[in-house]
Amino acid sequence: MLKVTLFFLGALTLATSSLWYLSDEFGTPKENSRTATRQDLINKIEMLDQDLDGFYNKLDQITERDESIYRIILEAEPLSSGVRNAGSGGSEKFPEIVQTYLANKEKILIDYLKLDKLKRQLFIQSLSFDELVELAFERNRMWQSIPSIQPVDNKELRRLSTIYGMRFHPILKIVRPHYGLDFMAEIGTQIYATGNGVVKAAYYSDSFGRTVEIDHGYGYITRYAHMSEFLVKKGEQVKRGQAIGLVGNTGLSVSAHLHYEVLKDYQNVNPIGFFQHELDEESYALLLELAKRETVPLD
Amino acid sequence: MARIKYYYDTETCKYERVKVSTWDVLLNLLGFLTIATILAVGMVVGYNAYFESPKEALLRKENDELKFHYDILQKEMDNVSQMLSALQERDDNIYRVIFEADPIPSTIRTAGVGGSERYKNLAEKDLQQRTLIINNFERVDKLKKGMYIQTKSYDEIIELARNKSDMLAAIPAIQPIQNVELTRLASGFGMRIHPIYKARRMHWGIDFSAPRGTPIYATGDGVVDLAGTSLKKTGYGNQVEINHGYGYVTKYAHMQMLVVKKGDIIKRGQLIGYVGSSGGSTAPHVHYEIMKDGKKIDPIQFIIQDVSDAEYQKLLELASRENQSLG
Repeated sequence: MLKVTLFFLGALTLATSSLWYLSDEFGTPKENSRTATRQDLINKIEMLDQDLDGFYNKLDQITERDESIYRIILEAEPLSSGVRNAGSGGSEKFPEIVQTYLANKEKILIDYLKLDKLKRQLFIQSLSFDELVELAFERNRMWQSIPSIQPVDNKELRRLSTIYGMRFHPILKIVRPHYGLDFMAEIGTQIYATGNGVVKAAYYSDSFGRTVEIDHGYGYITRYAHMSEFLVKKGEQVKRGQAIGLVGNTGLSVSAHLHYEVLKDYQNVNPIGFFQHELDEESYALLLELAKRETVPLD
Repeated sequence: MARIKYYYDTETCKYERVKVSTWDVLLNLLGFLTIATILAVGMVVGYNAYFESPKEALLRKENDELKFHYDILQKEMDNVSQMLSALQERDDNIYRVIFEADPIPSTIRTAGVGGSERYKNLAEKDLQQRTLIINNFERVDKLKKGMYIQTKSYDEIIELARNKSDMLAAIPAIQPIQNVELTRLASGFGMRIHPIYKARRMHWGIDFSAPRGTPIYATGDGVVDLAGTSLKKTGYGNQVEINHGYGYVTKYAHMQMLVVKKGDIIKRGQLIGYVGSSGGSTAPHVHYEIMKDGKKIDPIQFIIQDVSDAEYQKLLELASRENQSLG
């Protein structure tokens, strides 16, 4: 019996010590597979880190356009760097990781922090875009509203009389202020709104005859007088180029024409400054030539 | 003393020694090893099933944690990726609203930009422009070979100017404002959408957008022909025209303020005024024109100094886009 026991014990000892030696030298199967998994996860986290850097680059490009193009053209204040680098937390935010014994905990912690910061910056950038979109549309709205075309078809510019200011009145025979421009045209010629706006008033007066006033916002009002017919009424929204009335000879007027005024903050300004965008250099020079030849105004 | 075993042999009626044959030993050994192996296998299986070494345990814990964090990070990355795409789309939309054209593809956006120090030098130091120009002759030759400059008039210039450093100094050759990163070229020469009328019109110069007050520099030596507003050319607002001789005149429009007057003698790189939005302009920018013998030509051909080949390629792309001009 002792022999058998000794036999077994001997075999056991041999088995145990061989296993011990083998696992020391080559690692247990579990160790090996787990080590492989570990390396795989570490690699994946490394790639994630690189993708994260890629995201940062893309955000930088967007921020670059925001600051150097959009904000310049829209004349908006740049965001301060304090706002852009919105205080992301430090590692106190992620205590679960800080306390582990993971070998790569620094790496992982950095990734969490980077992601956190990136999310905040993306949010800030999107707020910035909110502001810019509003500005861009507002800017377009403004340019569509401010008077900037001629109120009647005037391709050859022959219709425009540019006498503005104090001049000799043909009917009253005295020198009086004339704070608008006259466009000679046949009765019934269409008159266009020179910018987007709202019809402020449509009335008849002894001096101006049938008159329409349009409020464009931004302090601008335009007035169209001596009309023969109204095509809009008070309160109507109009677009630039929309017909608002027809040329006539009503009120204090010598012959059929449109008397056109532009007011900024209720002060008359010379309308000539409000449609030379429409004219290129040659046309504008022609206009000035024609102006030189004028003598007596029409109202 | 080793035990010697004896057995009683019934045939010889004596105690005979037990003979241990080799075969016996081998069998014993084999049996021993077999038992050992079976035990080993049993131990391994049993161990694997029920036990864990400290090292294995550590690895398992570590892997669990790694996977936990990796999964979270991965999900966050997906979120961020979506936010980024949405943001890029908004970026493109804002671009479209302002420029009435599709945004520049990013390959062009990131194309070779560099050397910002060169521009700083140009603005801040009082350089000997002539030596710079002569040194850049190889550059001009190379650009010509690269087919970036295709106009015959430029060939003429090269020939004439080979022996005339004066002419080289006078002819427009740089951008009128600092344009680091080349982001400022907003709209080029050619048919463009007018920002107010939204109709296509001929745009006779290049628009460089910049904040009000950005310095504007003369692009070549010359004499100031016109400084201030002009009744005939009110669309240009506050403007400067410089006559460089050889038939070349440059114009810089929509300025906020001038620092030169008619008759002043100017050198390339000299400050002549500041960017504004005067005249028919919808955003602060300088509208830059070049006239040769009274005819307006494309200024893009005359940006050669201090621009690398890749940068010039990018400028060409930006200038040729049929977008909306700024004024």
